[in-house]
Amino acid sequence: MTTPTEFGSAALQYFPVPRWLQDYKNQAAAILEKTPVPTEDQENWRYSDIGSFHLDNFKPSSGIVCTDDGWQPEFLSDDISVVKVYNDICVANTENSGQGGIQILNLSDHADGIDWASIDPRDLTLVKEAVRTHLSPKEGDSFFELLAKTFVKTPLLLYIPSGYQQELPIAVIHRLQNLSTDVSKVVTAEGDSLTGEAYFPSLTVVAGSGAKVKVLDILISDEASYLVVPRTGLQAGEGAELAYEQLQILGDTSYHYGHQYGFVAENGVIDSFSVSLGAHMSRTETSSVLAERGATSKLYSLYFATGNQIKDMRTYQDHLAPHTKSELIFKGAVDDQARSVYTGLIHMAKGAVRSEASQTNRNLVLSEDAGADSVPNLSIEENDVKCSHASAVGPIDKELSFYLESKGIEPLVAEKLITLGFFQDLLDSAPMKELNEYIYNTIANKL
Amino acid sequence: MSELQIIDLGVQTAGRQVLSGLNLSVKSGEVHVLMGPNGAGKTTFAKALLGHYSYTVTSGRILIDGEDLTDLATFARARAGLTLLLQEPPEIPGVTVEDILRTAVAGSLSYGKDNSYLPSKIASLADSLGIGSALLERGVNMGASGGEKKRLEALQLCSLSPKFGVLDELDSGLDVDALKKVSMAVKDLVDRKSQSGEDGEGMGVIIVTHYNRVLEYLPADKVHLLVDGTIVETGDASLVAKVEEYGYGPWLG
Repeated sequence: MTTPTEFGSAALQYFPVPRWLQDYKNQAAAILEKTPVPTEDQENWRYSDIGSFHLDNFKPSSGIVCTDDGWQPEFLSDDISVVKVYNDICVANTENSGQGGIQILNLSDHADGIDWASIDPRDLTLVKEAVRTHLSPKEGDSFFELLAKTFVKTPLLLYIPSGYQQELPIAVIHRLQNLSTDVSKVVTAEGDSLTGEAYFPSLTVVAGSGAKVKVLDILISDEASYLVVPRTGLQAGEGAELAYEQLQILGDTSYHYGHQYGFVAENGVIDSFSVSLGAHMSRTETSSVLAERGATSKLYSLYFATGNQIKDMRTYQDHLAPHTKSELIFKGAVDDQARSVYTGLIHMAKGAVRSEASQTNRNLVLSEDAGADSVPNLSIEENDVKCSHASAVGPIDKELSFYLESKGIEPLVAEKLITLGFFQDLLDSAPMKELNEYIYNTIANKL
Repeated sequence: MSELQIIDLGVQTAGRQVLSGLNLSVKSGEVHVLMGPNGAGKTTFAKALLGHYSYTVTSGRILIDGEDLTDLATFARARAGLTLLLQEPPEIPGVTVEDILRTAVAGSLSYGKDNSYLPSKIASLADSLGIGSALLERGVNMGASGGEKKRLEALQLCSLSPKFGVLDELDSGLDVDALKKVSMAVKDLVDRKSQSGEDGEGMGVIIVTHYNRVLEYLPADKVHLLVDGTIVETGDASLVAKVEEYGYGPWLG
């Protein structure tokens, strides 16, 4: 199958970007043209209901100019720096380029290339490499990665210079709104032939040596149907501590194909927490490369699906160096007719001695029509390592419900308490605890 | 004055008739003890009163002040004034005692994990039961010893302060000091006096036990011997002494 005309080469030129970025986009487009849309026949797509996804139902977003309307999610306190990207256009940026401080660069603004002079010379290689690997196409890129690399509009670079540490988080809000006055352009929940817009949020976070930062990334939309293909690159330099929390609360008719790549240098730490509540179809690919000695990553995720939502999660913990450590905990609950599938792989390369990796996936199945699959995998080429994996899929233990009910708590409320309790350990260790109340209430209201 | 009446109760589990023709009546402020050998049906009795899913009532009725609880859901029986203290309460990750009590009282969920809301009543009860704050901050019973679980159960019983309590193996897992604390807390409920006139009534309790040591602190008004799923003899505290002396042999068929 070739790429439909809406995503053809004419569309590619629609949004002007700098030459260097256009070159990457063109390269990606050339490969995309030869890459078919995945089908259910492919092993790694057979759980994803890809059959219900039709690229022709979407088109690259129009060029409607968005402006900052002052909106901010109520769960964000005022002292947090916010970068707003509305419909793939950066509309507000409250944080910037203070001397030696955090820099947020909209790479599509830099016509003649990025002004590398603002980057600490010690970090230059790291930053350049991060930008290049994030935006240029490479061998093995999936269809959706290539689509995102072809149609990306506003790649953001969030750069934390070596040695710079900040306690207050930075929030990036990717918000999608249906601004079209032509209502026929809105895709209905019934999924008829109307056309929805496609968006490709792109964020690269580079934390230089010894830097410390917390980044919150929010994906939010109205109820129109969108194709959303975000790509997030996280680079923790030597000894850096990079915490990243993503909250995905897209409307529940949207298709979400997300990618997150982590790369951790010597003694660096990535602490990542992904909360997936929205979208009809949400497939995420999360990887973490422990590239140098002593690198650590924590990959946590909370997902909750109701109605006919589908969550498909792929993870990859890649240990390349000695004394590296990764811990993965993905926990979810599925209700109504919702489904989830988790597939994870731990790779221990030859030479990754004394490394430790764990992978845990637990699922609560809250209704008879809901389902969850869990497929952990190990690929170990080094003897001197510790690896563990655990997975569980099951309903709420009736003994727990009876216990709560015997205290006078109604069955439905008891189920909510148990389900929220199931997630509590993840919330307790979240990088952005400010969001916990919102997450808790959102799940409680959907149960 | 309230009354819990159990009339001609018959209970099955896994296709087996465990209890039959069981009659028992408890009034406010009374302490009843249900003793019996292993397998007599003591735990079945306790769980069936609260409508546990593994047990089916095949005959009889359970009433509080004439209100029939027999066909009510578990939570409705609890709200009608009947509470069970489980022999082996489960561990629930992420759900604290405070969550349970707050939810039981409010009837709905609210976010408040910061423990800023811990009514002084709960705090002082926990203190008198020897429950440390670390135990209260964890999911209920998580990693708790048998004795800690009993204290947490007692804390919830005291906080919910029901009309009637069925206490299954109240004394198991408790050392002498802990047993005294827990027993005294229950005794306060039994003896509770009206705070605002004549509404205040002592809790009526049925203590299900193998042993008599709990009775040192909670003197029994009546003692029932449960053998083969039915009550074979009822007497005063002196019946305990007879069991101590002769064992259950004289009552076994």
